Amino acid sequence: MKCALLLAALATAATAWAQDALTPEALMRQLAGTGAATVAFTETRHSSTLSAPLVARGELRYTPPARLERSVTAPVAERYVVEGDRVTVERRGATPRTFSLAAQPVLGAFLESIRATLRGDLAALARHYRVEVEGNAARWSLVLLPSDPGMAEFVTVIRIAGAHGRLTGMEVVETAGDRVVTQFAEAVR
Amino acid sequence: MRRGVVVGLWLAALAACGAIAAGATYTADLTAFLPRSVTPGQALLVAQLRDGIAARLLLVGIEGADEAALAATSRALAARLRASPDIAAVANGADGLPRRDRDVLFEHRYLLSPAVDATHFEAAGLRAALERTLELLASPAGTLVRPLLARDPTGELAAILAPHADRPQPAMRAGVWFDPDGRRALLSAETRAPGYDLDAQAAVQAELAAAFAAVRTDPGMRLVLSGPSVFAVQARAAIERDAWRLSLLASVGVALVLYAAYRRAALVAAGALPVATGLAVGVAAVALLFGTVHGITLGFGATLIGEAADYSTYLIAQRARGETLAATAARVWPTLRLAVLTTAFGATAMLLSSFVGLAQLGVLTCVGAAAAGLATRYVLPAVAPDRWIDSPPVPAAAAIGRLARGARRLRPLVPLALVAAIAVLGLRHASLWEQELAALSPVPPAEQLRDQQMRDALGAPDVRHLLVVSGPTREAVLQRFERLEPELATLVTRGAIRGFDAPTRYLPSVAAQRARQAALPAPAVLEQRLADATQGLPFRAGLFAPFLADVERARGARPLEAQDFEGTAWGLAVRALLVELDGRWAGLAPLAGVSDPGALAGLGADVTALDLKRESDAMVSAYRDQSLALGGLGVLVIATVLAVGLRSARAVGVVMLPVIAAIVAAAALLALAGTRLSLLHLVALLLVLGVGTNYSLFFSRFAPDDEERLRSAYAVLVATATTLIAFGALASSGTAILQAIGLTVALGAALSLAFAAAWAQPRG
Repeated sequence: MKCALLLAALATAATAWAQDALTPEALMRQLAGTGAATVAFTETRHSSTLSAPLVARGELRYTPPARLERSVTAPVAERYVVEGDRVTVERRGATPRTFSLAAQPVLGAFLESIRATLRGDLAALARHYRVEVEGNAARWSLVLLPSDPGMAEFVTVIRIAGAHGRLTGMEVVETAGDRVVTQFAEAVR
Repeated sequence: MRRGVVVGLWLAALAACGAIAAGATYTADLTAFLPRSVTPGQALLVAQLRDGIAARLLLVGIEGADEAALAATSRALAARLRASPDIAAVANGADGLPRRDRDVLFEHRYLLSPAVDATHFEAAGLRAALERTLELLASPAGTLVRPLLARDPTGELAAILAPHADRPQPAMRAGVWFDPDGRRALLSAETRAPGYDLDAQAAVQAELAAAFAAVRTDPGMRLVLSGPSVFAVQARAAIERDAWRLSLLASVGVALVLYAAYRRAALVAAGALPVATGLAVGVAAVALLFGTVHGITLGFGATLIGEAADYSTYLIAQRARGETLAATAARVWPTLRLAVLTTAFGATAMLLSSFVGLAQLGVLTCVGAAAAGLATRYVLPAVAPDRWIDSPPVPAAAAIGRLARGARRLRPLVPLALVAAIAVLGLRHASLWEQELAALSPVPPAEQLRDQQMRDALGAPDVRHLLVVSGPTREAVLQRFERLEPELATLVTRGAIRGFDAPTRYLPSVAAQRARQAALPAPAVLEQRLADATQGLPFRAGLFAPFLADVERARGARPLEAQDFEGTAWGLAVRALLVELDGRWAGLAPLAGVSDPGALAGLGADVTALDLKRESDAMVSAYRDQSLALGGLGVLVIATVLAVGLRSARAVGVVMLPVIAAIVAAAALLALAGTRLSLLHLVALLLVLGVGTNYSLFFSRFAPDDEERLRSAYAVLVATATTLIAFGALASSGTAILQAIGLTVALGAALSLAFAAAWAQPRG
C-alpha cells in the first residue's frame, strides 16, 4: 500500500516535471493551434540616447498562417503589413511602400520572430535564431538568440513571454544597449 | 644546284614566317570576329560582350548539403573570395547590403543622398527629419536606425537606399541567398579580368574551385559555376580536346590512305610540306597586316587551308611510271596553277569584309594557298630525290575506269540536282537561317537552362531593353541622366515601363554632389539650427556631436568618383551602367516591363532606346549576309580567273556548274535535315567551293591518253578520300561547331566528286 502511494507520488512528480520542462517543439505545437488574434500593445524603448522612454501604442493582428499587421495609433499612425514575403508600410502623408522581407534581412528576421512564434513554426525561427524555452506550458518564455551575423550585429536577444497559447510580452535587447519592451493586452478574438 | 637555291629560299622564308608568327599576338577575343563598322547599338553590344559587367559576372551555386551547411560555406567562400586580388566584388546576400558598400555609402552620405538640398538643413527641415527618425525609432525599423542615430539623425543612408528597396531580391535562407527551393546557395562574383580574357577567366574559375574545396564543410558539397565566361572557357576546352583527338584520328586515317596510294612513307611526310608552308606563311601575313591573329582565324583558316593538302596529292598521285616529281610538277602545273589561283583570288573577296575576322580569314586563305601552291610546284620536287620514280600502278584501274565512264551517264542529273536544291532552299527560305546569336553557342541546353535558373533566382534578368545616353565625359552623361530621371519616373507612373535603373541612382554627377555640398551649413550655423530643431524632442543633450562633425567633414570632402566604389557591389552597378566606348562615355538605363516602346522615342534626340536582342540578331544576319555576298563575289572572281586561264566561257561552265550544284545541294540537304544554316556552314561551304573547283579542274583537264585520264581521276579520288576522312572525323565531334563544319565539308566534298565526275569529264 505504502509502496503504491509512493509510486503514485512519484508518477505525479514526474508528470509535474514533464510539464515544467517545456521543449521548443512542445511550445510550438501549443502555439500552432492559435487562430486569428488581435491584441492591443504598448511598446517602450529604453535608450541612453533618449531623455525619456519612447512609447508607441497600437494593435497587433495575426491572421494564420502568414499575415501580420502592426497598427500604431500613437504617437503617429503607422501600419506594417507583412504578408508572405512582402512588407507594406503605410504612414500618414506618405505613399505606401512595399518591399521584400529578403531585401531587409534584419527587419525580416525581427518580424519573423513574432509571426513564426504565433504560427508555431520552429523551422522558420531556427533559420534566424538559436531557440531556447524556459518555464512551463502555463507560463513560458521563448528565448531567441540571433544566429545569423547580420541580425546579431543589431540584436543581442529577443525574449517572448506567454501563457498557454497566448503572447503576453516581448523584450528586445539591442547590441547598442537599448531595450524595447512590449506588453500585449488580453487577446481580443 | 638550282635545287639547293630553292630549298634554301624556302627554308629562309619558312624561318622568317616562323619568326613573325611566333612574335605575333594571338587573341581569343571572340568579339574580334564582330563587325568594325556598325550602329552605335551594336558597338555597345560588342563592348558589353567584350568587357561588360555581364561578361565578367560569375554565378556561383553551392549544393549537396543541408541549408545551414550551405549557408556557412557560402559565407566562408565569400570571405575568401573578397580577399582575392582577382575578384572585384562578391555578393551572397549576407547583411543585405555588403558591409563595405554600407561603409562607403555611409561615409559619403551627404554627397550621395537625394534628400540633401538647400532646405534640408534649415531648422524646419532638420526638425521634420528628426521627428521622422523618432517615429522610425518607435517602429520595427528602430533596431536598424538606433546604431546610426548619433551620426545620421536625418536618415541620409535610408534616403540613398530607398530607390533600390523595391527591386526583386533573391530568396534568403539562413541569412544568405538561395534558389527558390532552397537546395542551392547562391553567390555572384565579378572578376577583375575582362570576360574575353579566357586564360585569366580560366585561372579565376580554378581559384574559385580551390577556395570552395578549402572551405566546404562537407565533402558531398558541389560547386556550380555559370556565366558567359564559364561557358567560354568550357567551350574552348571542349573544342581543344575534340580538335586534338579528332585531328590525331584524321591524321592517322589520311596518312594510311596516302601511304596506300604512294607506297612510300617519306612521300607521305613530304606531302605535308606544302600545306604546312601555306599555314605558316598565311599566319605570318595575317600577323603583319593586322597586328594580332585571332584564334578563330587560325581554326577556320586551318580548315580552309585543308584544300592545300590536296595540292601535293594532285602532284604525287599523278606521277606516271618512271617519272620524277619535277617532271610531273611541270606536266600538271597548268591545271594545278589554276586550282591555286582560283582559291587565292576567290579568297580576296573576303578581304572586303568589314568583319575583322572574315578579312583575316581571307588573307590567310589567299596567301596560304599561294604559298602552298608554290611549295608544291617547286619545293616538293626539290626535296624529293630523283630516284623516287617508283610510282605504284593505279589500283583497281578497271573499276575506276568503269566508274568514271558510268558517272558520265549521270550527266543530266547535275543541273537537275541544282534546280531541285534551289527549289528546296526557296521553299525553306523562312527557316533557312539561324537567326539567334544564342543558337551559335556551344553551351549544352541543360547548362543554358541552369544558367537561366540561377540568373532568375539571383534576380539578375537578362538585360534586353536599354536606354543609352552618350556624352564626351562621364560627368556629362550623369548630368543628362539627372535631367532624364524625372521623365522616366513619369513613364513608370503612366505605365509605359514597369521600372528602370539609372547610373545616377548609384553615382550622382559631380555637379549634383557640389550642389549638395553647398547646401551643408557651417558648424556654428548647423549647431544653432539643430538646437532649435531638437526643442521639445526627447533626444539626450549632446547626442548629435558626431553628426555635426560628419557634416563638417563632408563640406570639405572631394566629390565621389567611380573608383571610390572599388570592391563594392554598388561599384559593380556603376561599372555596368557607365561604360567607356572609344573615348566617349555611355550611360545605360536598363528598363523593365516595356509595354509602350513608342513612349521611349519622346525622351530626346540624345537618348537611344535599344533592344539588345534585336541588335544581336541583326548583327548575326548582317554577318551572314555579308559572308554570303562575299562568297558570291568569290564565285565571280573564280569564274573570271577560270575564264582567263581556260580561255573559254564554256569551260568555265564545265568546271563551275558541278561545284555550285554540290554546294547548293549540300545546303539543301542540311536544310531538309532540319539544320538551320549559320556562319559555320558558310565557311565550310567556302572550303567546298575550293576543293570542288579542283575536282572539276582535274576531271576536265586535257589528257592525251587514257592512262593520264585515269591518273587524274585517281588523284581526285585520293584527294576526296582524304577530305572525307579528315572532315568525317570532325563530323563525329560532340562539339556543335566542329560537327557542323565536318558534316558540311564531308557532304559537300562527296557531292562535288560525284557531280564533277558526271559533268566535268570530257566526252568521248
